[in-house]
Amino acid sequence: MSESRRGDATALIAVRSVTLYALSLHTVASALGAWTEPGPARLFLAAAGLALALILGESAGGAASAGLEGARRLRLRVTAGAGYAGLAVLALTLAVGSGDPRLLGQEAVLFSVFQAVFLLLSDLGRTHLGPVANAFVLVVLASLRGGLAAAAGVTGGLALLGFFLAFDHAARVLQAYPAGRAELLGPTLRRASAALAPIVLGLALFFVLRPPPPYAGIRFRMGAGGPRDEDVAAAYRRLVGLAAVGSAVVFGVVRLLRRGQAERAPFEEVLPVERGAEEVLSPPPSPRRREYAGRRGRIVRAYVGVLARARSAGFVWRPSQTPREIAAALPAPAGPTAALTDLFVEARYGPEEPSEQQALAAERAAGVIVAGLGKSTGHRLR
Amino acid sequence: MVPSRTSTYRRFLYASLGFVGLLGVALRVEALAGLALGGFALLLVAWRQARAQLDGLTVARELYPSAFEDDTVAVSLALDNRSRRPAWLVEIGDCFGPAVADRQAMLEPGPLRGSRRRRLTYRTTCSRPWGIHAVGPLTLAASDAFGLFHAERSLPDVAAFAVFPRVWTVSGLEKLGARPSLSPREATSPRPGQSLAYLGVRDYRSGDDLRRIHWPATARRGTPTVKEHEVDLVPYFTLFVDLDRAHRAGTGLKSTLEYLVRTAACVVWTAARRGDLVQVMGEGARSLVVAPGAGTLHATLALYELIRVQQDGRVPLLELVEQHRMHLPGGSTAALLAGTIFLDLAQLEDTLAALQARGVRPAVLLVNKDSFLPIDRRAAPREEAAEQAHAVVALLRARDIPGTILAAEQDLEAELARPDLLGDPS
Repeated sequence: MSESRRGDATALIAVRSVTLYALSLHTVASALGAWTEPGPARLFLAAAGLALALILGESAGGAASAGLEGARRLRLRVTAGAGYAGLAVLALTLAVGSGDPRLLGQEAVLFSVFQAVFLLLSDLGRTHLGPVANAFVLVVLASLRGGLAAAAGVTGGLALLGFFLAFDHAARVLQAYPAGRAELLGPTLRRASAALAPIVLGLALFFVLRPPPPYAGIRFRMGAGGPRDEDVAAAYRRLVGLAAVGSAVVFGVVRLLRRGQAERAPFEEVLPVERGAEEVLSPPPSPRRREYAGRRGRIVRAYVGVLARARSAGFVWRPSQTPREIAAALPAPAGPTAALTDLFVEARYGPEEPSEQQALAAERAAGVIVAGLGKSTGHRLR
Repeated sequence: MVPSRTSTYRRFLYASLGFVGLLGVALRVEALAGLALGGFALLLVAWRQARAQLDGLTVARELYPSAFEDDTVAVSLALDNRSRRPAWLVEIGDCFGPAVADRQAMLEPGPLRGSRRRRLTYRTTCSRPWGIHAVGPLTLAASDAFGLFHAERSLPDVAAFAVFPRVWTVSGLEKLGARPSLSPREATSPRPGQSLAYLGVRDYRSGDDLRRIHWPATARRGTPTVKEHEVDLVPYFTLFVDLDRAHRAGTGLKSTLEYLVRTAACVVWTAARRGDLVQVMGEGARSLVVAPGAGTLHATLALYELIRVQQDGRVPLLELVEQHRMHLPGGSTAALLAGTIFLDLAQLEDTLAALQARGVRPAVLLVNKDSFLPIDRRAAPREEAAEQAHAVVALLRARDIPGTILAAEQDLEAELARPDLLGDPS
C-alpha cells in the first residue's frame, strides 16, 4: 500500500474514531443531562472514561476476538445483540410504563456505562453497530425529557451519526484496496455535510419553532422537575470544550496506534491500479444527424432508439462493429434483434424504400428488444 | 462478499427508526417522532445519492487479446464520467478468465470530474493453461456518502482471450531445408542466385545483364566477365498434426492433446522465429489449416488455431500427408507430429521416401500415447511398445531422418529444449 493511501486511510480511521467518540459523548451527555444533575465533574468523568474506553478498544479490542473462529464469533455477536436488544426494549418499556424520573436517571447511567463497554469492544467485528445502537438508546432516553436536552440530543445525535457513517464507509473502502493516491478526508466531510445539512438544519429549525415537550406520562416531583434548560445549556457549553479535548486525544492516539495497520488481508484479488491522468472527454456527437424521412426514417429511428436504450443500460459497443456484430453481442431476444437489424441494414443502405409493413415490423421488434433489455441489464440497488 | 460493503447499518436504521417512530407517535413524544423523521430523511437522501452515483459512468476494457502462459498482462480500463457531478469511490470489478482469481477488484477513489476519463491499468498473470478464456463482464459499483446503499451495474463487455502454450526453441530445426527465393534473406547457399552475397566471376554469356559486368576483371582478362552472387534461401516449413481420435490418452497436463499442442506450438514458433514460411495442417472434426506465411503475426495465428484443436478426427496422419504431399515445395521441411508410435511402418517408410524423393526434408515427432493413462482403449503392452519404438527409430535412422519419441514420463519442457531433440532419433 502506498504511503499516500495508507496515510489517508489512517487519517480517516482516526477521524472515524473521533466522530464515534463525539457521538458517544454527545448522547451520554444528553441522556445524563436530561435525567441527572449535569455537574462538571460528571461530564469530565464521562468524557475521560469514553476517550479511554475508545483508545483501549482501538488498541486492544481485536485481541478479544483472537482465537474465535468466524462462525463462533458470529454466534456470539448474534446472542449478545439479541440480549442487548431485549434489555434495551425492557428498559424503555419500564421507563415509559413507570414514568419515574429516578428510574430514567438510573437507566441513563446504566446505558452510559454500556456505551463505554461498547467502545471498549469497538474493534470486534466488521462494524461499530454496538456503540451506534447504544447511542440511539441514549438519544431516545434524552428525547423523553423534552426541551433543550431532547432537541440537542436528537439533532446532534443525527448529525454525528451521519458523519460517523460517512467516515466509516470511506475508511472501509480504502482499507479494502491497496495502493494508489487518495485524498478523501476533505471530500468525505464535504459530501456528508452537504447531505446532512438540510436534514439537521430542518430538524433544528423545527425544534426552535416548536420546542419538544417531555413525555406526558412522566411524574415529576413537585419542585424537582429535573435539570432546567439553562443548566442543560451550560452543561452543553462545557461539553463542547471537553469534546474538543477528548477528540484531539482520540485522534492523536488512534492515528498512532493504527499506523501501519490500515491494510487488511483482501478477500478477493484486489489489485493495485496505475491511474492515468484525467482526460477530457470529447463532447457527445451532435444530435443533428442525417435525416431519414418516411418509412426509411421510421426504421432507422427505431434501430437508433434501441441502441440508445442499450447504451443507457450499460451495453457498450465499438464504432468498428457492424450492425450484425452488435446484434450478436446485444443482450436481448435474438429473434427481434435479428429482424430489426436486417430491416435497418436494408433501410439504411438499400436502394428500395421500405414498405409500411416493414416499418411496423421494425417498430414492433424495437419495442420487444427494449422490454428485453430492461429485464436483462438494469442496474441493481442494494 | 465485497469487503468494503455492509448493510448492517441500513438494516439497523430501518428497524430502530421504525420502532422510535411508532414510540413517538404512540407516546406523543415529538422529539422521538422528529428523530424518526430525520433518520428516514437521511435514508432517503442516501438512497437517491446511491441511485445517481452510477449515472453517466461507463467503463470499457482495452486489452490485447492473447498472451502466453505465465505472461503478465496489462489490462487497461477507461472509466468515463459523462455526468456533471464528480464520481467518488467507484469500485470496478473485472473477470479475467486466465487468472486464478475469479474476480479482479479495483478502486477509483476519485474525484473523477464530470466529462472526464481516467485510464486505470491493472496487471495480472495468465495462470491458467492454454486455451480460449473469457474476459468480462465488467461491473461498476458505488455507494452513497454514508455507505448505506450500494448501486451496482454489470456491463456485458465479454471478450475472448487466447492463452498460448509456453514455447521453447526446438533445437535442430535450423539444420533442415529451405528453397530459393527472389526476396533478400539472411540464409544463402553458395550457388548462383539473386543474393547480395558475392560468389565470384565468370565469362560473359549471351543474355547476361550488362550491369553485372565486372569491369576490372574484364580489363584484366581481356574478355567480358560478369559477377555472380549466391542464391537466397527461404526456409519453408510444413507441420502435419495428428488429430486422430484413436490416439487420445491421458488427462490434463499429461495427455496426448497437451503434448501434441505444446510440441506443435514450439515447432511452429521456432520455425517462424527463424524466418520460415510456415504452414500447419491437421484433420480433426474441424480442419486445422494455417496457410503458408511468415512473421510473428502469422505464428500467432497458427498458435491461435492450434489451441482450438481437439483430437476428434478420423483421418490418419499418414493419409493426411499423402493428400498434401504433392503441394510441398522441393527443398522445404515437413514435420510429422503423430499421437502414437504405432504407425504402419511400411506406409511410414513409403511416405518418407516419397517426401525425400521430392526434395522435402522430413522430420518425425512421435508422442507415445501408450505411455499415458488410457481413456477409451487399452494401452499396448510395454514390451510391444518398446519393440515398436525400436522399429520406428531404426527406420528413421536408416533413412537419416531426424526425429524423436515423446512419452508421458518425460518432462516435455526439458525434452523440447534438448539440443539434440531432432538429431539422432535413438
